[in-house]
Formats: sequence, structure tokens, C-alpha cells
Amino acid sequence: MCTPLEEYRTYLNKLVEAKSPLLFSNGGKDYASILMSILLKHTKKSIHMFCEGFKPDLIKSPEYWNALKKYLNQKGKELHVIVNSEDYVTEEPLKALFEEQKKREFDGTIQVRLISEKGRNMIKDQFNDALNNFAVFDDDMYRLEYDPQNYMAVGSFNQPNDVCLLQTLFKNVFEISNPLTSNGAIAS
Amino acid sequence: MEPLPADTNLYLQGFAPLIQLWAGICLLFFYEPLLNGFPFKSLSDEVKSLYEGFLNQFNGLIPKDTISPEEYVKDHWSNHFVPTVKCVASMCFFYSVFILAFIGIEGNPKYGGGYYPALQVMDTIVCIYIVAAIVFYRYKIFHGFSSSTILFIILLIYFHSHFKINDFCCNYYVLGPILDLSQITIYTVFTCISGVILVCVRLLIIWIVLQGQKRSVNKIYRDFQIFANYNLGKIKRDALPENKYSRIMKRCNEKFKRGEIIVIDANAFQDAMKEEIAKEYRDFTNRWWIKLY
Repeated sequence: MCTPLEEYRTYLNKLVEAKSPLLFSNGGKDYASILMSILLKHTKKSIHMFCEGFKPDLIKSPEYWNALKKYLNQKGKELHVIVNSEDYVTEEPLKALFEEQKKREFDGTIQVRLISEKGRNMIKDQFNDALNNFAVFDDDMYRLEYDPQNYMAVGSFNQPNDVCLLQTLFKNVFEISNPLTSNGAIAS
Repeated sequence: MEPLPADTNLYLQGFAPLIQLWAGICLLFFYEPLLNGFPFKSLSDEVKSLYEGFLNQFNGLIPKDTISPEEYVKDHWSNHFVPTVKCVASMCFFYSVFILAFIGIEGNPKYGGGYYPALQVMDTIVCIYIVAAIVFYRYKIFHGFSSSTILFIILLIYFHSHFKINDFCCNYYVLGPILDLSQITIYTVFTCISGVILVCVRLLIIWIVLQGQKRSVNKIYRDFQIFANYNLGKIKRDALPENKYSRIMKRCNEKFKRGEIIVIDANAFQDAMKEEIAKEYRDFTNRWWIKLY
């Protein structure tokens, strides 16, 4: 048997409530969905995320999707996304971000960008030649996906040093990435 | 007239208060709520939570066919160990009460001294029974009061018929006393307290096994931290701490030598890590000393 999902949720909730600095592994779509929903729920101000394309297959899993919608409904909370591919601009998750941008009158709290070649190389340089996906929540929580196909990741609810490293990388890559709209990337 | 030489033998009479005390202690073990609230019960809970934490913390890196935490610890306390403690305690209680009764007739030359060789046989049977109960605690025969009561009745019959049995056996063997009176006394006192001592030894073994499991988990966590740092890029590929991470690197190097991988890259490293944690999981559930739970 695999760990039951409910038990896994309870375990993660205990860690997040205790602000545990424990590093943990996270693998498989259902388990990734649970972790992301918990991270979204406990984020107070900002999320910075680098991913393949904000693909719907994971994001649209009910738990993750509901948590994301709740997060987006809280005005003022930031979500900055860098995508590696613009293949999914017509899919629901990205469309939801573009709509939210409009609703917020492009106040900069929601931003989506397409990574540049230079940015891609910066990420590979950092991660020993791997193009790992990652998401940073506030200043202390993160999930780093080292095997995106199988949703294999490491994460923690309280590792400010690791988060600082990922934040810095994100900011550097974000600055040299092009804004993405529902019509595709806008060349800078 | 010369005074008679003093009798230097040890008699059970001198140990009566101690045997009474042990009988009382054994009686306490009949009370199940006390056993369930026993400080050592927390060991079983700790093992369960260690196992649960391990499964959850290394989610995705552990083989899918794991056993549930309930399954993992179910043999260890309420289902098996508590009934075994009751069985052992009841045997020691019955035997201690019997010895206390025997002390009452000990001074009588007709009934007392002559029965000492019988005690020697009974002590041996009780000790074997208690050791068997502690070792084979999973077997239902060693749960509760049934087998101890039956054995005690058999022992009483044996005691009652000791002389007849001895006479009968003497036709074939000489069943004389192997130990002297003092030794039989010490042996009997030990038999009365052996149950509680062996239960404590058993608990000590559980505690040692738990510490071994904790060390094992801490070790895999240290490896996992390096793995996470590698994925975060905090450790560069050519700066992997080979000495600290020898098992993973050894796995990678062996694959490299066998030509299964061309380069020790992030994927090779991940696979090795996954294999290592899967192995750790198997060890966690299959180590020989886990059977000592």
C-alpha cells in the first residue's frame, strides 16, 4: 500500500503548523496536489514559481485548483510565474491568471513570464545542469521538483536559507524573462 | 555434651517477605489498564510514529507495496505483549503463592524437606515455560491465564505425587537431587522473580531495537539532506562529499563501471538515492533484530 492521502495530509498539516524545518520528499501527482494546496493555504503574501508551463494536469487536480482559486481571490497576495514553454497559454490555469491580472487592473501582483535562454541557463547552472521546477512561498517554504515527469520533489515548510537561494535565482531569471499574455510572449 | 553443628543451609522461609513482594508485583500485571498505561507502552507508540514519519517523509521514494503502520506495530504491544506479560505474571504469581504455602510446611520433617527435590523439577519447568513465553510471545498458547493455570495444576499434581513418581522413575533412573538445599532455595526464589526480570529484559530489547531504528532513520535523513542540497545546487556535482555519501556514490560508481550509465549526473544520482531509500525501507521492515520486537 501507499501512504493513504488523508494520512499524508495530516502529516503535512502537522509539519506546517509546527513550522518544522524538516526536509521531506514528495512524489506522485496526488501527493504533489496535497502539498501544493497546503503551501497555498499557508502563504501569507507571495508565491514565486518556475514551472514547465503551468500545465493543467497537476494544477487542475481538485485540491490544488481549489486552493489556487482561493489564493487568487485574496487581493494583494502576489503570484509571479515563470514558464518554460508557452504551449499552455490557452489552458484554463494560465487563462485564470490572465483574467485575474485584468481584474486587478495589472497592478503587478500577478505576473506571468516566459523564460529566456539566458534565464534557462542560469537555472541549469544553479541546479547541476537540471532544469528543476520550483515554487517559493513567502520567505520560508518551498517545493523543488527534480523529476517533473513523476512530480518528484523535495520541500520544506521552514528553510529560509534555501528559500533565499531560490528567491534570488527567481528574481534574476524573472528580470530577464519576457511578459506572457494570452496571445503569447511580448518581446522586450 | 557437644553442641549440635549449626544448620548452614538456606531455607525458603528466610525469603518469604521477598516472595510475598514479588507475588504482589506479579498481581499488578493482571490489571490490563495498568499495562496499557505502562511507560513502556510509549515505546510501541514511538516505533509506530517513527515508521509513520519515515513513510511520509520519504513519500515517493519508498516502494509502493509498504505495510501500514498499524500492521507494522500490531504485534508489538496490545495484541501480543500485554497478554504475554499477563501469562508470565500469572505463572509467577501462582508459583509464588504455592511457595508461600510450601513455606508453611517447610519446617515439618515429614512434609517439608523431602519435597525439596520436587521443587528443583518444578523450578526448571516454570523457568522453561517463562523463557518460552517471552521468546514465542506471538503464540496464543502464551497469552492470558489458560496455559499458566493448566501448567500450574499439572505442577501441583506432580508435587502431590512426587514420591510415587520418584519411586516409579527410580526403577529406570536415579532421580536424586542434583542441587543441594541451599541451591534449590536460591533457584526457587529466582524462579519466582524470573518472570518480572525477563519481562524487563524484553522491554530493554525493544528499547534497544527502537534506538537502532532511530539511528537508521537519522542516517538516511542526513543522506537525504545532501541529496536535497545537490538538487538545490548548494552542492555542485564535482564537490559531492564522497566520504559522507559513500553508499550513494558507490552505487553510482558501480553502475558507471558496469556501463549502465555514461555519466554520474543528476538522474543517476536520483536513481541511486531512490534505490538507497527503498533499500533502507526494506531494511527498516526486514532486519533480523526487528524480529526481536
